[in-house]
Amino acid sequence: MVLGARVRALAVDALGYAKGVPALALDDRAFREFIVWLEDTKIRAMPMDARGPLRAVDAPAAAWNSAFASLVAETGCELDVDDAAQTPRVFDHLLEQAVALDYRDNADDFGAVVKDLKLASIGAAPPPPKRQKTSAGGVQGAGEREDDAPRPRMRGLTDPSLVSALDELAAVLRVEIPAGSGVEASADACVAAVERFIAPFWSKVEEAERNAGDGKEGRGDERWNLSPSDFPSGVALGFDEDGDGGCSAAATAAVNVLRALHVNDLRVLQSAVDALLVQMQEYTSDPKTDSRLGRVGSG
Amino acid sequence: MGVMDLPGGRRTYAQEMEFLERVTPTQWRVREGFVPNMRVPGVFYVNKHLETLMFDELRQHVDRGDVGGFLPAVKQLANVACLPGIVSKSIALPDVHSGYGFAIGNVAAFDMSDPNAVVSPGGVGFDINCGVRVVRTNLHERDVTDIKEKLAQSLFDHIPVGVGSQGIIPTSPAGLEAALEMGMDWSLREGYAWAEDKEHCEEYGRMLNADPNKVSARAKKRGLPQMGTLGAGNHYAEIQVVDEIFDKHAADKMGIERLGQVMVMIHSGSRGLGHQVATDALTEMERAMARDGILVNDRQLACAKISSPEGQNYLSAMSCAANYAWVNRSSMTFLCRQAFAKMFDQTPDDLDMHVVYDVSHNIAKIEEHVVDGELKTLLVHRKGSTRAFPPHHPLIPVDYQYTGQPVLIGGTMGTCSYILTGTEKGMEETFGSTCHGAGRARSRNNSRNKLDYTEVLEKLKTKGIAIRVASPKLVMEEAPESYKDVTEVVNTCHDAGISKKAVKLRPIAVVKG
Repeated sequence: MVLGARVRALAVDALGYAKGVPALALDDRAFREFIVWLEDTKIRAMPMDARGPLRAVDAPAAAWNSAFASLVAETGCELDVDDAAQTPRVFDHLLEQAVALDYRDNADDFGAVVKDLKLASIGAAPPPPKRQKTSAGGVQGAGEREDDAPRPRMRGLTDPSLVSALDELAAVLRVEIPAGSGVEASADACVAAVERFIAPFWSKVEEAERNAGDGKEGRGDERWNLSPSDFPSGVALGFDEDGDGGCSAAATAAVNVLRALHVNDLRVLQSAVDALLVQMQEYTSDPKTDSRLGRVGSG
Repeated sequence: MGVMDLPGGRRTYAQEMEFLERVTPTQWRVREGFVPNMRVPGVFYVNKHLETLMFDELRQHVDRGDVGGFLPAVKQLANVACLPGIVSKSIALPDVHSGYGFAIGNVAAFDMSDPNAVVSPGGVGFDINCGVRVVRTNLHERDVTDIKEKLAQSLFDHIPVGVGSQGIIPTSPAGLEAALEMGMDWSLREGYAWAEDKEHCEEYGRMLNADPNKVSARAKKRGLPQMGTLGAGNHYAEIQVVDEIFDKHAADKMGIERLGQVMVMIHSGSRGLGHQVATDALTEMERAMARDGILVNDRQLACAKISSPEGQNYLSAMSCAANYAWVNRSSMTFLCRQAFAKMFDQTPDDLDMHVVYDVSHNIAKIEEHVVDGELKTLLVHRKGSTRAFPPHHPLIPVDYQYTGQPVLIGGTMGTCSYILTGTEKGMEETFGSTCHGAGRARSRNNSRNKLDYTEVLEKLKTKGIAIRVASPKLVMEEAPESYKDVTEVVNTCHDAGISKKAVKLRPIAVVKG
């Protein structure tokens, strides 16, 4: 898949590469440097002594490209590196590999945080289990998911700069955090608030991102701007303030925000209902088929 | 040209046409007087091409005189406008064609607060809660192209199809009673459905006023062995791929992310049980009409006051049949998930086989609508017409609050299908309803006489569509040539603004009764 410019920039930043996303061209020195850095510090797919040709960033295109091709092949990617149109895909593939490997190295620390964030976003309902395996029947036993063991926490959770940044974020989002609540509670509240405001507009975000990406590849740090009026309001509001048959921008925006909040609350409720139904199914569900009863597969 | 009266005071075609007037390029009005006793006008939606079909049918009827067969759709539409308690207008959608009493593709709403308002089984149809369900997958066309034939065979091996076919999900009479009362909640309890399936189903897959005691023993006897079967006629299970995305935002919300994405469409109904419920009610209502002095223009329009015991009995039994149809589609979804899971050796969960939505296109439901600025509780009959509620309507799932309700339009065998979304304009003009499919252009008999089934099958093969049919000799009744062009129908609804195009689907494999 092709990542958006913003996601690409985030990934490069998160991996700890200071120079930002290079231009996506095989003959660009910055691109070659980034690939060398990625292989040396994150992917490490080739043995150390085989990386020589790749490290020769000033080598002519033919030599460097073949070194690059062998790295790409080594990571299990079948794309053609010589096709310039495929370069963003190849780049994203390597980036994904690097992020995945980086994650694996620190999985325990990250896992707990991700889990907490997910729970917060679906209103604390437990995730629904996988259902309906290939053989009918086979439902998970009750209580399997109950997991009260303390989870490992991300390092640096008590870092004062993180705490103050969170407070700042909470202030911008107008999230009220009760005095004395921990960093996690503040983070949860912020995540929930972001989810509420952003979720309904997500397709617009992606669109904005794509449009930005089309023009200038690699400029991932641009902010996208969303206006509530971008979003179809659906039902006519039934009042008319400025006399031209429409509503005032402020009223429309207010209604749209209220709707976003309402729909978000509904989603949380529906997820909780679904989770309850799944819990109930663990006791009642016993699907069976008996092909002797009917006639299948004949004409 | 001077107009000559036809014998017996019948009107000529030109005289009939005087009662019809074009309102917009896609909308016509049928004025009172077109048939005697009209209480409200009729309205129909057609484009240039579809209107010729409509008017040819009327012309043939005038030429032929009043003998035999169904009345033309536009006459049926007007006869419905004469029923007691009808509100605002009798509406026909672009896929309209003659049916029993009511035309198929007719919407009519009756005022619940009017003691004389009626309910009519003809306004629902014999296949109660016949409907369409679409299940998405995360597969791409290239994943299935080479194994298309095997996949079609696998579906055929899992889903019982054809006239008189019997289900392979073991059901006891007590189980059937529970299913009639609980609808998809039964499927959920027994583990045939996922919690999210219920969320993405019209009415959440359960009519609450269902009372199995109102369903005759005969109907139950027919229904018991047929649960989880596709049936015959125009019913099918199709493997389709996304051919075109018109509305990216709506498609995203439905989990439809790219062209070539593989989807499964199931079109089925309440089988013999629904048919029997309708037949039982028609007999009961004929007696009630005589007792209550209800007069109608066409004896096929048998009906009863909503408040009468016959009316209430029918609504309870119809709800049971509707629940049965949802259980039926859920059971087939289960079988279909099994078929895919075996084929691809992955769980249905991993294949992302979620129900996009499930619509009913033969049903009567109690709904609230604004009529002339006033909120009213109506009994809306939709026969061959699909509910299409707009964004932010409280009765549509939370996931579709911003897009409007998904409307699933099954094409005919081998032609494309569409997913539309409901609009505010549809809510105002058609009680939140739109078309349901292609709509017949040729009667079943006419198709049987004029088309050859081997040719029909051969044509599908040349289009690269894998096909498995239980009764090949009935295939020509369902050939694309027997139907109106579904794209014309959908475009007319889109242009009229009563629904909006979101996604177009193209079949690659068909399983038919």
